[in-house]
Amino acid sequence: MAVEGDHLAVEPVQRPQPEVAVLGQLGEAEVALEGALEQGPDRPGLEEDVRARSRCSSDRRSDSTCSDLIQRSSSTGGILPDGPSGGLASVLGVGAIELRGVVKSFGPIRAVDGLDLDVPEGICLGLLGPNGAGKSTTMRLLTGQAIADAGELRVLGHELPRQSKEARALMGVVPQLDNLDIDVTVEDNLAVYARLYRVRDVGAAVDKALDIARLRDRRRDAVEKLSGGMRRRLLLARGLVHEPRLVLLDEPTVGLDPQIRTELWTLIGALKARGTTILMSTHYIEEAERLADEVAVMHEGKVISRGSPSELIATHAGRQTAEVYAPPQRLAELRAEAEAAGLRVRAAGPAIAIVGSERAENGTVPADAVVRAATLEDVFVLLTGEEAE
Amino acid sequence: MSSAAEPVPSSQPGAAPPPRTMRRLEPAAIAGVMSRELANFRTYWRGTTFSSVLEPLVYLLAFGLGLGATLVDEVEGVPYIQFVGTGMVATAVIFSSALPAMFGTFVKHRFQNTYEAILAAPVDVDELVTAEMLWIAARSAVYGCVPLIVTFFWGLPPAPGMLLVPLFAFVTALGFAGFGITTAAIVAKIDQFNYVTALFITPLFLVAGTFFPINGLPEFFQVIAQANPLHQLVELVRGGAFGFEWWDLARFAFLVAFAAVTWRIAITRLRARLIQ
Repeated sequence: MAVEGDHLAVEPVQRPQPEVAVLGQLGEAEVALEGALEQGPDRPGLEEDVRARSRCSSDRRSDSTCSDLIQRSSSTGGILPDGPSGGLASVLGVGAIELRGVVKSFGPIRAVDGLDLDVPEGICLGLLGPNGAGKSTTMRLLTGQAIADAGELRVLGHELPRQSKEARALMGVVPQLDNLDIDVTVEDNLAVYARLYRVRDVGAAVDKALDIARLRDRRRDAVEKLSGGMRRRLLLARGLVHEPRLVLLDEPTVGLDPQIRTELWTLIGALKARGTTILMSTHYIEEAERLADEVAVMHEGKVISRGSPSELIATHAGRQTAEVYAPPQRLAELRAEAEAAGLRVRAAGPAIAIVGSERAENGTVPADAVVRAATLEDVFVLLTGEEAE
Repeated sequence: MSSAAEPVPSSQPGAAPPPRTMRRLEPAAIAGVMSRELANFRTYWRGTTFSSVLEPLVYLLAFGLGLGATLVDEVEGVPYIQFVGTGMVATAVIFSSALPAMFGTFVKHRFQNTYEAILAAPVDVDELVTAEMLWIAARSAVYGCVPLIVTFFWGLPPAPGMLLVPLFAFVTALGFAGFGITTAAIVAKIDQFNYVTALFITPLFLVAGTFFPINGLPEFFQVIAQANPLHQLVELVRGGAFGFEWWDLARFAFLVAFAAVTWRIAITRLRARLIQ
C-alpha cells in the first residue's frame, strides 16, 4: 500500500507478474475458495481470510510473507486452503483488477494520470474521490468503453482492450445513470441482459435476479410503474443476472434519498458477503466507510492513498479531530497557531477542524472545541482539498 | 479473437458460462441485442405499424388515385396506380429504415444511455450495429410490402417475382439503416437531422422513379438516379411485378454493396462515438 498523502503521488511499486493469468485455469485452490465463499458470511474466518488475501495481493508482498499471513489467518479459523501445490498462494497472484501506469486524456484534460490499482478477488474496494477525480473514466476503461492512452490493464486475467469482451463476460456493471428500458417489463429487462451475457437458463437467472431485487411480484410490470428505489434495485439485479465474479458499481447511490440508499447498501452488503469482488466508485464518504474493505482515494487521475478506512484514518488523521467554531478572524489565528504547532487543519463549513488534535500541546486547541473521533471525511478533505459529501 | 472454443456447461443454472475466447461477431450477442429491440417493439408496435402503413397509403391514394384519375392513365404501359403502388415500396422502406435508425440510435445513445449498458456486457460495437441494422431491416421488409399488397386491390396481378420483394426491401433497408446509424453517430444535435432529411432523404425519394419514370428527367439527374439505392429498389420491385431483366442482378448486387458499405461505415462511426 503506497500512502503518499503529502506528495499526492504513488510510488511505482515493483511487482512480479501474476502467477496465473487465465481464468478457468486456477485449479483446485480457486474451486476451494469459491466453495468456501459460497458458504456465506457466517463462515468462520471469512473476514480474516479476505483481509489476508487482500493485503497479499494489493501490497504484492513476497510469497513467504503471504504464506505467513495465510497461515495466521487459517490458524485463527480462516478458510483459505493451503494445499500441497501452494493452495491459495498460487491464486493470490491473480488480482481481479490490475492497472499499471494507466493514462487517459480527453483533449487537454488528463482524466486518468498514471493510475496504479490492484483489486484482489473477494474484496470490496471503494474508489473515493471528488468529481473529476477520474473514477468514472476508470470504470469506462474497465468496461472497454474508453481506451487507455498508455499503461497496462488486466481484468480477471484478461488483458484490455484486446480481451475486453472476455473480461466483460465475467463482470457485472451497475451504472451511475438509470438506463433501464422503461416501457418493458421488469422480467424482460432482466432476460435481455441474461441473453447478452450468454446465460444458458435465462428463466432461472431472471428468477434469481428478481429475488435479489425483491421484485418477484412486480415481474410483469413495466419499469415505468416502479418506484425510484425499485428501479435502482432492478438496475443492481440486472448487473448480477449472470452471477459475475466482479461487479463494478459506478456511484451506485448518487442522487438517491437516504431510504433508497440504505436499501441499496443492504443489497451491496449481501453481495459482498458472498465473496463477490466489488469495485465501487463513490464520492459519498459514508458509503465508502460502510461498504468498503479498503478505500482508494483518487485525486487528479491517480490513487493518492489506500487502505482500510481505519488505516487511512490512523495514518492521515490520527485519533481525534477538534472542531472549533469562532468568528472568521479568530479561526484564522487558531489555524495559524495549530499549523505552526505541526497540526493539520481543514475547513469544516463555518468551523475549522484540527485533525490529530490528540497530539496538540496545551493551549493549541481551545477549551470550547468540539472533540470527536477522526473520520474518513477528515482524511478525504486533507488529501484532496475538496469538501466531502 | 477468431477461434471460438465450445462453452462448458455452467455450474449453476442461472450463471453465465465460463470464459472462453469470443469471436468478433457472435450470433448470441446479435440475438441478444435484437431481443431487446423485440421486447421494446412489443410495447409500441401498434403506433409504428399504424404510421408505417398509413403514410405510404396516403401517398398511394393521393398520387395513384388523384393523378391517375385526372392526369395520367398509364406509365410505360402500366396503369398509373400500379406504377405508383410498386414504387411506393421504396418509400415505405426508406421511411421505416433510415428515419428509425437515425432517431433511434441517437436517442438510445444520447438520452437513454442504452448503448452504455449493452456495451458493458460482452457485446462489441460491430455486433451492436449489426443487430440494429438487421432488426430495422426485418421490420422494413414487412412494412415495405404493404403498398404492394394494397395495390392488389387496384388490379395489380400477383406474380411469382413478387416473392422476392421482401428480400429486396430487406437488403435496401439494411443499407439505409446503416446510413441512419452513421448519421446519428455524426450529428451533434438531434435538430441536425433536419438537414439530413432535406439534403439527402427527400431528394433520394424524389429521384427514385416512384411517381414518374426517371427517363423523363434531364440526363444529369438520370445519372444521379442510377446511384440512388431507392431507384434500384423501385426497378427491382417493378421487375418482380412486371418481369425481371438480366441487369436486375446488377441492381441487386448494387444494393448488397450499398448495405455492406454503410454497415462498415456505421460500425466505424458509432465506435468512434461510443468508445473514447
